[in-house]
Amino acid sequence: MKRTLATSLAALVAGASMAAADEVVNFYNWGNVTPPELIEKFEAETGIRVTVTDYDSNDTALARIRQGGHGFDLVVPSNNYVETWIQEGLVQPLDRDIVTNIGNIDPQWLNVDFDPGREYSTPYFWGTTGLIVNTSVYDGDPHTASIILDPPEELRGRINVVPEMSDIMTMAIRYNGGEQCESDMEILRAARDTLMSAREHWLAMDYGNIDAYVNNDISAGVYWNGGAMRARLQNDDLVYGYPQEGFSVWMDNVMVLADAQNSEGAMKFVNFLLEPENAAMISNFSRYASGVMGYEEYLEEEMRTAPEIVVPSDLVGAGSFSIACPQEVNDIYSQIWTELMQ
Amino acid sequence: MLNRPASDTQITHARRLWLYAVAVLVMAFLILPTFVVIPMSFSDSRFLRFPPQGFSLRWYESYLTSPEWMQATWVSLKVAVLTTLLATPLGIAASYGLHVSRVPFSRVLTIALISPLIIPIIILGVGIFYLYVRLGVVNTIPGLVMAHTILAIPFVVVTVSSGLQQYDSNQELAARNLGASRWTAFRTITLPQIRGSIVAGGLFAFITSFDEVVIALFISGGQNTTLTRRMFTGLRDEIDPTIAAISSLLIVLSVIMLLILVLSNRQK
Repeated sequence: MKRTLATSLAALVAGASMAAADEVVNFYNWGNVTPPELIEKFEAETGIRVTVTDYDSNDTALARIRQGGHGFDLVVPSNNYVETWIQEGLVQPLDRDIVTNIGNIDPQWLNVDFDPGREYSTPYFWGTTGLIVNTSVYDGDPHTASIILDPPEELRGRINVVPEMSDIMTMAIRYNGGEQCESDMEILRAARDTLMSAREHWLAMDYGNIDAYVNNDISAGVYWNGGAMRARLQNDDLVYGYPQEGFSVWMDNVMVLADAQNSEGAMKFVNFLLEPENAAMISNFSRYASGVMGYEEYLEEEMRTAPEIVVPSDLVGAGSFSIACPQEVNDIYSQIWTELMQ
Repeated sequence: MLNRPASDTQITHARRLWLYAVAVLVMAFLILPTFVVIPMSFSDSRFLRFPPQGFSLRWYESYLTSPEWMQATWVSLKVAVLTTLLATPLGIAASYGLHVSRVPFSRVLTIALISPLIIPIIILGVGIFYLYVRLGVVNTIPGLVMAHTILAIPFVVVTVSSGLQQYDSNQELAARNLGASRWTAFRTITLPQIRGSIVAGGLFAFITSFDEVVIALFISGGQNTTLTRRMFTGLRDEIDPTIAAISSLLIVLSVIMLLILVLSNRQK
């Protein structure tokens, strides 16, 4: 009996250490945006195994990595968080000897404010934060934030709002005539009042799964364009709205962690993601646009003309790239946000 | 027949029918939500619908052919087995020690041992996470095993203590008087008589580890992601019907475990 126990333990522990002996890259990414076939392709090409662990918000990822001892090699923060990651020394510069595909980055995404010259990051994909509306419940204009901030009768109690402070605060501020990172107290008070009165008509503040929109458990919400497209492909009644008062454009970026256990493998993976065919694989799966040149050639037809990807010409001007706000502005936002979440 | 009492005081089955009806309703309320998932797992739809429109085995195939799901299953099995092998002897030792000792603060020790059952698991999760960061065992098999052992020991302690309460410890004393060492007396006299409780405790330890998700969300990840953690994240963004197939298989596993438990108690 004792021998059997000892043998079992030894076999299990040996199995655990053998698995750990393979070369592995641990990828910490947003949920449900990493195509399994992309991972399989990388493994086949390099022999390096990739594991994916997911998170649902920038704050979750940042908090987890700040603690250390996480074992991850790569992370994918949004543009307005990239500077924080760099300033806190949580990420390392890209090794240009390995990341040779840096030239594949679309010029408009190369010299970005949050990482000039792309010293630390490469594009994963980019998108917009807008609205998703079920037209069988509400057939009015979907291109206005009033759907969320002053909901029509038919949508009351059927709305979900993603709990992303910067997105929601910016939407409420723009709705009240302000701009990103607004510090005018009058506008901020108006934004707070708008949010507090709107909150009564929301069903939830959740990251909300796509199926809830597909099944009409939720009839409207603040959502990202890729998720909205995935939902619309399963339910034709769903439309994506670009708030005319202003909507955010964002980009998620791949970065190698400073305490990565396999920096070289991680750099190889970053380089692999910059191949147009691989970038298209991510886009076709996640339904977000890529920042890599030439990826369109491999794009599925429905992606080329999708209303969630192609912004209506009269609303292009309403979009603006999300930016990181100064700390004092963030502190005010946080106070309003805390009150809203209670 | 139902209405004929054997004595004046006997309550007949007929007069007890309402009680049976309530019992059936309670059982249905407890069991049906679990079993709803089984027909859904045979759906041919790309997302979960009840009742399913068509039938297919595609989601079972999706699970069994997916390297990610298989890796997570292997991690969960490995962790659950190691947790069982660790928690069961520790739980037996603790139960036995508390049962035979005359320590004045044994009640306090008992409460300390079963405290993981009382403390909200989210608090345990946060505490374990911050401790494990310092120890460098986040996202590792040993880390998961240690954490799950903390959760599993109380189940072993409770079930084994219950077995020891029903066992006459004078038999062990008699063996000791006849020259057996404490270990020999325990192994040959006590252990066989509480075998049913030990099996039950071991099964509880296994299930506790295999089903655990909250602590796994904090401390599992990368190549050591557990099955339940992967299921949880799979439910968050877009419900993958593969999860219904996995859930059905887990229900079958639980039923098998329950049968083992019943049979081991019957043998006892």
